[in-house]
Amino acid sequence: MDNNLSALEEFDAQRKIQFPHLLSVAVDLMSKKKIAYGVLTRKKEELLLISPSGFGEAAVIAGLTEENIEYFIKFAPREYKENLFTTMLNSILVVDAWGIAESMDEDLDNGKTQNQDRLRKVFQYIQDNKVAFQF
Amino acid sequence: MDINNSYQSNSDLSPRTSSGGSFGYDVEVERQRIAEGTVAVKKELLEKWKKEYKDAQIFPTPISSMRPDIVDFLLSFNLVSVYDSIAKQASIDAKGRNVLPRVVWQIAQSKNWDSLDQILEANLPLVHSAHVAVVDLLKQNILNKIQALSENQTAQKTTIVEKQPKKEIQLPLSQALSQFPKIGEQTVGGSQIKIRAFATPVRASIKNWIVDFHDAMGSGKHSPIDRGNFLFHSENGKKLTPTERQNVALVLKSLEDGTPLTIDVEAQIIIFGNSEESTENKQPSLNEKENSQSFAKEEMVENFFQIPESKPPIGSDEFHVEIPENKIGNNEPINNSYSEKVKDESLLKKFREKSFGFMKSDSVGANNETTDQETQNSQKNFSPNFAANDGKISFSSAQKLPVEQGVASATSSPQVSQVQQQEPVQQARQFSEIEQIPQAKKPQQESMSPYRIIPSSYAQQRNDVEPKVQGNVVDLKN
Repeated sequence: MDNNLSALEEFDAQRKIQFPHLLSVAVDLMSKKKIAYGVLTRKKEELLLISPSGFGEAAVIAGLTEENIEYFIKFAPREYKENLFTTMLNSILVVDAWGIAESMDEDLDNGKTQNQDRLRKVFQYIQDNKVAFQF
Repeated sequence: MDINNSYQSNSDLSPRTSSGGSFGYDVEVERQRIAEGTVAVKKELLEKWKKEYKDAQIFPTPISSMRPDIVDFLLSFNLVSVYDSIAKQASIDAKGRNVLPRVVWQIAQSKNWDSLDQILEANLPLVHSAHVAVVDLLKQNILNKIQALSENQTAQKTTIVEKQPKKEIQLPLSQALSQFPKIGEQTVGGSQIKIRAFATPVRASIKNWIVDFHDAMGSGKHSPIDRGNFLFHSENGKKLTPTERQNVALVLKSLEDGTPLTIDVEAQIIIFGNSEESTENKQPSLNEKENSQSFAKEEMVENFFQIPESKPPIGSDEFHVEIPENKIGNNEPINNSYSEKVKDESLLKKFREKSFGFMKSDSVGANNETTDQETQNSQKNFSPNFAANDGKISFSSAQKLPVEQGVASATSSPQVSQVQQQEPVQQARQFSEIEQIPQAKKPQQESMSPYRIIPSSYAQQRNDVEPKVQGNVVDLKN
């Protein structure tokens, strides 16, 4: 491939793009936040490069933005949507995602709840447009 | 792989003359190289992704049949704040706020613009003033725009139709498939069906339907009755809506009898007589019952913001075994004696009262004579209804414990009726004992039962009639 990368570097880059939720064993909050920040900074077109299984992880959900979720709902294929919807029905994962957003707000150290507000709007948007997820 | 610049290379360890340090590489250059390479990898992955998901299903069938710009409008993120502001202005709570988008989607799919009042009233009972406010705001901000979009599109559609009349021909299916192979890929009757050749469900294309029909019914000719059986009773046919079934029936009829189908030559699709109706009015007549049922199902799904309640631990007083009415098949009763006991809690209480009341007068030890007296006493204590009901409730297996056998042998044939009446008593005792297992065990109640082995210390605590010590030991205290 014409990307000036070694095979290992290319594999590493692919892993980061497609499987950010598998880069480390995301058991502790720090790893989960790292994944969430990674998703947060992605462009909307790159969001769907994450494998469908990634949308079953709370850390990936916690990184969704308004722009990303709108792009997701309009262009994501069925298996992506089914995975996301199943995650939203799992209260444990939802609570986990809330916890990650809360921790991200604590990192800001300015008393604001911008990540939690963002996530609340994303969840509300998904709930408002449930019909688009129910195949 | 560029060996000269790669930090992974072991062959080039000597410092270079470039601006890099003594490590043999320039960190900034490496970073830039990897960043550029990552961008290229992303681009390649994006192209691969587009190829892979080129024909993937994006929306469920009811939404994919709607106009794209209406779907685009309904899926815009701005509407979240619109619904929030409507809820705020009409002073409705979060639950009521969540009903609004569902109502809007339902009306947009059915295009029944005048049904807003009815649907809203059925699903969100409000004070009249609030109801009017919500209706006005929804129409103003959302529904009128959707209606305008759909009317514009229908106007455009009719103009296009007038300008270019469609080329339609009539052909039987077999000829149509040979002339226009694309017809075989047309989806008809649902989104996916199961066929024998594939483990996973496949697209409900005309070809796959034909394969399924031949798998189920054989490849020869079939009567209309056979086709009807397939359409109504097959695994895939059962799931069809009436309109979809009609379309599949037409296809199968044309396949077998050669009846001509209307085919759009340019698009290479079969035009069904009810196709436009079926796509535009997926739910032709929205009964209130259907609405309420669908909303009820959706309410069950609404647990996005709720943390599940903690369940009581098994064995606690609050724990109750939930047993469905027909767990195994439709008519088979649940063949579980313990579950039957749990089910019938009223009888349970009755047994407990009777058996415990009876057992309080009991003495320690498995004494056959005392048990005989006990059983005789129990007959008096038990209500006649219970005696009449013996045999209706089954408890443990036919095996009898030694105590029961002793009781049975002690009571000889002239007292058969008493023995027969003792069985429910003994069964009640067994029932009460077994019923005690999941709950906290109370030592006093356990010791009452002759079937239980109790520690001697329990007996001593209850101030038995028998002397505390026996034999040659002299009790100096008493």
